[in-house]
Amino acid sequence: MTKPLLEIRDLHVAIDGTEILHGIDLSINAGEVHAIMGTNGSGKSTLTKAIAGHPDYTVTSGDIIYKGKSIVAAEPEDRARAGIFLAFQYPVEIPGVSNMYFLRAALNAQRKARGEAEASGADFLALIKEKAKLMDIDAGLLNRSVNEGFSGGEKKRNEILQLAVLEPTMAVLDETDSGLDIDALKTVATGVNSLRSPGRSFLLVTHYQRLLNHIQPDFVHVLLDGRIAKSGGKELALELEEKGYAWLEQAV
Amino acid sequence: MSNETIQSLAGQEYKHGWTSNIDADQLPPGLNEGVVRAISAKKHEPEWLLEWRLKAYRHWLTMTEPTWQKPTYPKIDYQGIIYYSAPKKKKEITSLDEVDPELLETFEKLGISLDEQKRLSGVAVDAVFDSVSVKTTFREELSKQGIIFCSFSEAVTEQPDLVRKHLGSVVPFTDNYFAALNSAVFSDGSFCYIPPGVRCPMELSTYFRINSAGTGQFERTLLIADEGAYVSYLEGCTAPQRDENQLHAAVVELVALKGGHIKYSTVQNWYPGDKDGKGGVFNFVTKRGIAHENAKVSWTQVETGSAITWKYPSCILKGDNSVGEFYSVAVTRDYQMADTGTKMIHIGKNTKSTIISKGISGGHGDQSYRGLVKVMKGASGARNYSACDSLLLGDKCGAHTFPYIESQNASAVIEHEASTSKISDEQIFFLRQRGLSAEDAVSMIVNGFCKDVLSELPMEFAVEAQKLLGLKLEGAVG
Amino acid sequence: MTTQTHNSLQLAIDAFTPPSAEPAWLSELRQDAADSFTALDVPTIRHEDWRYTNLKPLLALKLAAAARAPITLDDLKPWLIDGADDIRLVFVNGFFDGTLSRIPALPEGVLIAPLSQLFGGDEGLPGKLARFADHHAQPFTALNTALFTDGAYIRAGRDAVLDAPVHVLYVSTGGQINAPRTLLLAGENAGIALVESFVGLAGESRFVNAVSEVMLASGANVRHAKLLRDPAASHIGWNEVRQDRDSAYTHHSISLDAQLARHNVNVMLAGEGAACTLNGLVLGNDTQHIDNHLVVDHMRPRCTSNQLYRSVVDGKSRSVFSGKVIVRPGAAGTDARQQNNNLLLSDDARAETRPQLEIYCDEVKCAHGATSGQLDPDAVFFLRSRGLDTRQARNLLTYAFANDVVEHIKMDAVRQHLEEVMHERFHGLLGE
Repeated sequence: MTKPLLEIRDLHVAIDGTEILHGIDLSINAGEVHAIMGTNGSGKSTLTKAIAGHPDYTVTSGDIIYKGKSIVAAEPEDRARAGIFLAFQYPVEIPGVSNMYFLRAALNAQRKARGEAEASGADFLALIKEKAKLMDIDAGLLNRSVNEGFSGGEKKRNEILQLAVLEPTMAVLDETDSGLDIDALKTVATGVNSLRSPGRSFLLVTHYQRLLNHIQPDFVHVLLDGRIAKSGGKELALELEEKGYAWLEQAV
Repeated sequence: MSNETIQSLAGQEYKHGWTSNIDADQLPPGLNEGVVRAISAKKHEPEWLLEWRLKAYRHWLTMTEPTWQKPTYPKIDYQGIIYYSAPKKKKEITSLDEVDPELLETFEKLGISLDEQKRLSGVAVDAVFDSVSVKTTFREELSKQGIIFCSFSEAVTEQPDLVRKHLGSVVPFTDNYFAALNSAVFSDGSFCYIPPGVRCPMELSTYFRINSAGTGQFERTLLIADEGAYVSYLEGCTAPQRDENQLHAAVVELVALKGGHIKYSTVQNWYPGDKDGKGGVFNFVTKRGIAHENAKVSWTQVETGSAITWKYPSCILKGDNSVGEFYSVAVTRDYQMADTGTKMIHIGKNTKSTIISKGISGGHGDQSYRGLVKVMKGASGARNYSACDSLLLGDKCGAHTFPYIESQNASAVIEHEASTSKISDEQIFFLRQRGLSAEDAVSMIVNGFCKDVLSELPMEFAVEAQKLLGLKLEGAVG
Repeated sequence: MTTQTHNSLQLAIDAFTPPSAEPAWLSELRQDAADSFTALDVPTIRHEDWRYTNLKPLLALKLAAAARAPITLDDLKPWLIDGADDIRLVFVNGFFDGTLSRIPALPEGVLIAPLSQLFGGDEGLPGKLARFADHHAQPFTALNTALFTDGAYIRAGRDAVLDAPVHVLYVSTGGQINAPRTLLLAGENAGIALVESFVGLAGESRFVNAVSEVMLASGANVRHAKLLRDPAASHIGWNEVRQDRDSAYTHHSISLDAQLARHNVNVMLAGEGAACTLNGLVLGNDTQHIDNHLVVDHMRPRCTSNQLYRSVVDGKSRSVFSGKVIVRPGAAGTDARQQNNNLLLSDDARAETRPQLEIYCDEVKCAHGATSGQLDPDAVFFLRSRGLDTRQARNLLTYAFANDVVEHIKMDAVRQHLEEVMHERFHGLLGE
């Protein structure tokens, strides 16, 4: 049996001393797409932040094993350089820093850390143009400051553009679908689907089933009050759509 | 996490703190009429200039040192300062070979090559060491177009009419305490004249270096863009690391005649004092430009050094349709203090001014933006836009904004905006999640914050300014 | 350094005798204030905080000592506020007028009375009066403290809530020096609204030197309006506010008439989570000079402050705004906003503005803005294209500009009253 790419073991996470996750177990193999669903406040975002290593989120017990090594003590940039990518629920604005400039700096920081050749200006330009086209991103946005003045949809597409350029091994998408109209949702889904590959895994965090109409998950997990209440195949998402979450609460 | 990053960025050591061992021809410390006369005599000045200096000195005696500014500093002992210090010359210098090699090395070390062959691109340099100009490059090439670029002392001898006409016309010696002092004891500086309709083909620059201990630096710069002329001028400054404070009280006067355009850029990196606030340069400078009809005066400054920076590069928009600009980045860290900003005096009709000020404070740094926008009664159609933003990199620093807006004309439109924020943890986390180190994340955010100002700098200086801001942007799109 | 002009105010202090016998603590307080006044210099335009307001004309006035004067209810009519006059204290030249005042039965814990009736009582005035108005630092506070004859005392004890506003009218007549004094104490979770009207009929130039002290205990809510309507007055007012935890203070300063006015509002946000809103409107014409000088001191974490001041200046009038926000070390979570807008309607009008931020803490959100300009010609044109004439268009836009401040007044009766006043005023302000 192959080792999972990402394995989460009895993970407890607290913010400001308040425990949000009360023991999560999750195993993701290379190439798999997992979806995490749950109501607001169930701990979905906390899980993504813990995987990415946000300093405000403290792992109080349990472990996160990535490519066979514990990463709970690793700095966020080291996790990123090892191939973990988080698409933010609320993408951050960085005034005065152009999207293009930022992306090349990020790409080269990662390549350098992995001992790969850095992208030259020309190579990078070709790469980003191709990816921008894929994500249906207006070239004008590339020269604007990161997320500044972007619409909600543009911000989310920009997150997926970063995903496409940085080519991570483990992509975590935190409610990338929320606030998107159907066209933007399709664009995002197309982008994600095109990036699916045997070596790349996805963890999709979502509130709604509709994203999963466009991105077919291999597994669906329901998060409730900081615990995984139920796991199943993609049919679980449909069941949730139909019945809501209440029946699970009773089950717990 | 981010705090450590900021600490390390804010704690970078001053790189120009070494001293050069160069014989100096100095006057003894102290100030009196005799010293003023001695400076004038050493420079073989004409009688009128001596008289002007003496008038300024006598006026200075009647003035009191101002106290309205935010930074406070120990009382300056004006009798303890050396007012004239020059590297000893063995003979008159006619070529670079004859310049003291130690001096050349000093400037090489600072990244300023005085060898015209070695300069990468068209930048002419006037190097000022302590009180005197050491060498001005590319003079001959410039003179072919009628451009005069030389040390102030040479201008007094060679262009007496131009100097006499404009000296003190923008900053009279009665203007303020430090301008009066400068007028009495200024030693050297740069002079530039661009004839009508000429666009100066290269960046002109002056590089100031304080070396000798106990000396004050009182340089005087005068730039004149005649009708329709254009010049871009750069100024850079460093000083050795010393325990005592050193006074730098310069005066810069810009005259942009009808349709003239002067762009004046400064990267100031005088010694800021040590981590505990000991030593450092007091940078008390008066800079002002006058813009005649359709003329433009544009100031860009990156202020990273000095224990105290206290200056307001200003524009007198005298002519109709004249334009004034002020772009500033100021960084204060450790115990540095800055009280800087600008004055835009709108006199002519349809005059326009823009003020963009970015303040970054870390450590115990304390920084004030102080700016005056004054619209006189006759300045119909005047427009001003000001934006002043402060970024705080710690909880022991201060950032203050003191705009003064005075409007006497109903048709004037004045807008001022300001904001203060700290560097956001979410921004840092986002950038780190994308693989950037915490240092690079901070650098990138700071760089973005300053972009509107840095983009105003000529390319060569922009690069130097970014480095100065502690921005390590290797591997990024340059 | 005592100047000649200083001496004329000094003379007023020297000549002062209290209207009736006073307890020792008050005599001592007056003496202390008189001594400070003598020691302090009257500020000149060389003083940074006074650079736009020259007090020389004020100091040149020949001023008589405050004296009682007969006033009828009819005289008061223009300044009464329908719906906000059920509780009313009237002081004429600093002396309480019982016949013009109305103090109905009040809820438990609420006391409203002239200060003079409480000097010797058990209300504890010695520890409360002059606690935050520092007569050692400010010459005009010292002058008021030395000279005040009476004033309004408003106290709402713990949990006491009084919905109806208290209207205090300080009426000035003749060329006198008057020193109105207000003390408002809001206890824990108390709620109270105060309207101070400084009024006077046209006539001899006078000097009104007012001091108000407002203290809010934790959770208290105070709404405070100050209306200045005295065309013959040089008015210098000090409004000192101290707020404890989670209290909320709203101040509206409306300057409708004065020769010269200087309003100082100092707010100490001394308890975590306190919030203040300071709004002001200046309607200046002729040669009026109106100066608003605000200092909001964020001393504790998570306080919010919001300033919106607007001025409309016509004729040769001049408005000055100086608003300072100080954020002390440790005052994390501060949210401070400051906005000053000036509308210049004539070629001779002037506006000076200095919105200032002084910040010693990094965990803050602070922003300020200032604008100065004339009516937007495009907006005027737009209204004309819809059928208004130029005058009507200008009136409408000016009214809208000014009303942005007035509409924030949550005391309905006061807001409605001011809207009527403005309707009337804009006709004259803009000319035919």
